[in-house]
Amino acid sequence: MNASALVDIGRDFSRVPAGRHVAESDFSGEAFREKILIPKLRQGGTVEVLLDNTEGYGSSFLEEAFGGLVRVGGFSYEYLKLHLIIVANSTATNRYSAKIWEYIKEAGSGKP
Amino acid sequence: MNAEVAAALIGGGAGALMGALFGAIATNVVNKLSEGRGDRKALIQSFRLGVNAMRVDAAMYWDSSGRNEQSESEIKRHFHRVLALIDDLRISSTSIDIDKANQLNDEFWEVATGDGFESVNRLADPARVGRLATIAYQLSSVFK
Repeated sequence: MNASALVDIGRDFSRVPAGRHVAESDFSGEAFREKILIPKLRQGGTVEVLLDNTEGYGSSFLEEAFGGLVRVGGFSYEYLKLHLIIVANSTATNRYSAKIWEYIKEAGSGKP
Repeated sequence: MNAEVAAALIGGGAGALMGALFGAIATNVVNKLSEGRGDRKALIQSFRLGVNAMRVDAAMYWDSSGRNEQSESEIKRHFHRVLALIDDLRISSTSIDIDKANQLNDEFWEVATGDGFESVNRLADPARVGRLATIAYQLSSVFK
């Protein structure tokens, strides 16, 4: 397996990630997925994503960014379990982390 | 003073001392319990105020259309605040209540920040406002 990459959303993307689609916001879930997540994952190594250091997330952002990895990006739940590490250091970001894996799983099972 | 009277006095003194000691400990325990109840009562009140503030902001947001960055940030902040208050209540609550509160708070966040949240094309959604009110009511009622 290739080396791992660290993505700190607050530092590398935006402290105020917002919205689902690029048409709605430059810092949407779709923008994060397409500009950062997918290119890093395509390198083949593991990608660590740090959730702390932002003002928080809406479920629309997280679902589009991470559920979209399966629905749009073509990654499987099993592949992501091996290559995607969600890092969360607070009570709030831990809850976001659990939601992210729910969205990935639901996207894999064909649920909206 | 004969031996029996002396023993009774000593015994009585010891008994009184033990009684006073027990009384002091019991008073201390009762005070601590009352303090704990007071703290818990205040925490529950803060929790309910937090949930209500979250409900009001989310309802105002979904009563109108389009983006409102200030409301969006505030809704996310409310979610964090309520989470922190649930955490504060952990020590004096059952794990069943904590799990239920977290599950309802997650559900509120999911509904309040889902779909067109943070979208310029978002439309007002009265049905969602009603759903949020129901979840907020259930969430407020978790801790007694």
